[in-house]
Amino acid sequence: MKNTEASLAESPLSEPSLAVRVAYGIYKGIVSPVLHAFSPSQCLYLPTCSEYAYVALVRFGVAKGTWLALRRFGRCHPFAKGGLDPVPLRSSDRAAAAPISTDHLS
Amino acid sequence: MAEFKNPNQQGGGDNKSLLVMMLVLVTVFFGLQYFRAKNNPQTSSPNAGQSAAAAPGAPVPASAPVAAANLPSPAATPSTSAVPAVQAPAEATTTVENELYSITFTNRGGQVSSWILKKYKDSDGKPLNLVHTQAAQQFGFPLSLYTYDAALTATLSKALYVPSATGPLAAPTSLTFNYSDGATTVRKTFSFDETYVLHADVEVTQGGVPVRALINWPGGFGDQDNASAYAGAQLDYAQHAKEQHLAPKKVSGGETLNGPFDWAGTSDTYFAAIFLPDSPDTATVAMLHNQLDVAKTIRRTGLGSGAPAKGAIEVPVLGAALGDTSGRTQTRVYVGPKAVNILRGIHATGDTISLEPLLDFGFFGPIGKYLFLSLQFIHAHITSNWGWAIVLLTVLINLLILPLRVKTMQSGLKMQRIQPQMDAIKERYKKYKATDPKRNEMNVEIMKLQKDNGVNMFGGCIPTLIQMPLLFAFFSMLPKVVELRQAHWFWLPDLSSADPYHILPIVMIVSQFLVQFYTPSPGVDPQQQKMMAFMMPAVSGYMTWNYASGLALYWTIGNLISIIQQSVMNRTSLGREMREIAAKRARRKAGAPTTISGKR
Repeated sequence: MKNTEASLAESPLSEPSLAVRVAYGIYKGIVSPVLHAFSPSQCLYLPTCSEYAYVALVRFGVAKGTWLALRRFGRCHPFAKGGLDPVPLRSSDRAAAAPISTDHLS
Repeated sequence: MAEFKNPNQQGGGDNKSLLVMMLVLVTVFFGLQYFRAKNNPQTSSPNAGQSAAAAPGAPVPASAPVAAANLPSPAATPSTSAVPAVQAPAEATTTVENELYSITFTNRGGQVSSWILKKYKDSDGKPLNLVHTQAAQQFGFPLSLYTYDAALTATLSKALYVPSATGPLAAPTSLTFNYSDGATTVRKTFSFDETYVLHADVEVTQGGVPVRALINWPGGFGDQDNASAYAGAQLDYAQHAKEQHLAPKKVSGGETLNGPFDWAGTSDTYFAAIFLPDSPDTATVAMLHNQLDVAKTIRRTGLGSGAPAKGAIEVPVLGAALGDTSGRTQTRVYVGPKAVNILRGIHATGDTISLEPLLDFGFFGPIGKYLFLSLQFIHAHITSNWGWAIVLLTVLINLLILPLRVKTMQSGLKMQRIQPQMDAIKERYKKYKATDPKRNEMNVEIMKLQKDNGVNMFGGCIPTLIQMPLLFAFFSMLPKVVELRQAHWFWLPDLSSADPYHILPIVMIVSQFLVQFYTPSPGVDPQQQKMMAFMMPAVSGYMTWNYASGLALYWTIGNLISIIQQSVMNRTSLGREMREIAAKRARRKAGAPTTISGKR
């Protein structure tokens, strides 16, 4: 856990750091089910905020990943339409990425 | 056990790690419970040495001999002859009474030996005496004097004053104590009216020179008889209309704070002794912090409470004394319940701030306060029972979020219809890591499927964002409002403390289980869902078991309403259709347990 930032800075695309994995696991395994149990509700967006944050953290490192995740959380409000909202790709990966439909937010 | 496969899990966690996590969670919960039971009474033992060492004039050692002092003691004080000595020949008491209180003063020290609040009762059902006698015998009685000279403090609290009246007095009235040994002259005047507030005016001179004498509430409250009540002790003050609450570990005994003070004093969870100085700018406050061994008197709950206490149980006892830089102290003193209706009517000199902020509900305070005000409104206008008021408020809150709930339940049912297709899509993409861009295509497919089937994710996380703060606000508000103290509801003797028979927590665990059982959680992995059906009741049961039973009441009623809503929902055409689908699926999975996962 101590070298979280370092490892992410070195190779953001490598295996997610332990801290991120543990946080994600705890959220998915415990917090999220508890929240759902308190009050059944569904996510407006796909991927869900937690998945989004996980991917963003792995893909962009701690600083930018956190920022992206917070912005995404801010987009979840009662007047939002919701829908597909994938994590942006890193510019270097964009060429290699499979094409995805572009009008998914319509 | 085919249905236990776990299409939702991506990346790190498989079922084994999930189980490990649950185990850790359970361990933490019970560990905490054990830790709490063991350590609560001694929250701030590190301060024990500090309080004695911090100030040479700390009243602790000084006033300790009060209890031990025998009658003939005043003769021992040297009397030099310039001013005629003013001393009473024997101990006598004066009792001042109004509708709210009955305060017994003794002329030994001109201080209070018992302060009965007529509207409140102690744990034995007797009228509540706000003087914590055990603490007072060691650290000093209320409205005694505190000076920065330990010997003088001791003298002033054991001298026999001449009272202006003895026997019973009816407020409005005033009472003066005079004492002089020739060199030291003391005058203490108290005025009383029909409220909880009284006025104190004390002046001590030595050889004609004023000595700074602080009027003191040395320690504790009479309603403190269990660990959580002792842990509720705090020092409160307001400077420049900003209030502060200091927990025991933040109070170093003997420390003096300089003003201005709008008000300052000490309180426990339900009661307070607060000084409101006549001249806030020149007021000073001495903070007192002592440790008291209450092994013999404390009422214990939780683990191991049956056995007699092993060794000392040290609890923090906080006190506050208020003085004035001029030496003469003139202040109003509020001694009474921390009830918002009363507190908001009492204003600091200069009307900068009222006593209302004394009641602090913590982080969710603003929400908690409005919850309580609505509770109070219901109590005042609809029902005179606090338990029913909680029930009504719960129903009301649930009615307000009903439209949101219905929408959520509808889309939940629709989600059930497409669950197999969704699982199939997820299965196809399972081989990709969560971070793989291919996952986007999975989301595109799922989204399309949902749209085609009219699933409308209404509101998103908003219902949760409404309900969680409400729950936390109730959680922090209920055990802190004095109105709920000893408020009855059916078998419950006190809505602000735990159900002694544990009926409500058990009902609530059962109802929580039913809620988990009946509410479809589409998209949540069945294994997880099954586990939550047991975990949630356990967790909520843990939270309410030893907690203010008002919380369990709120939670239980909320659960019952959820169950009713869900069963009504299941009877609509949509609900019936979904149940048929669920039943069909269950039959197909013959042999597999059909409890919760069968509802998918």
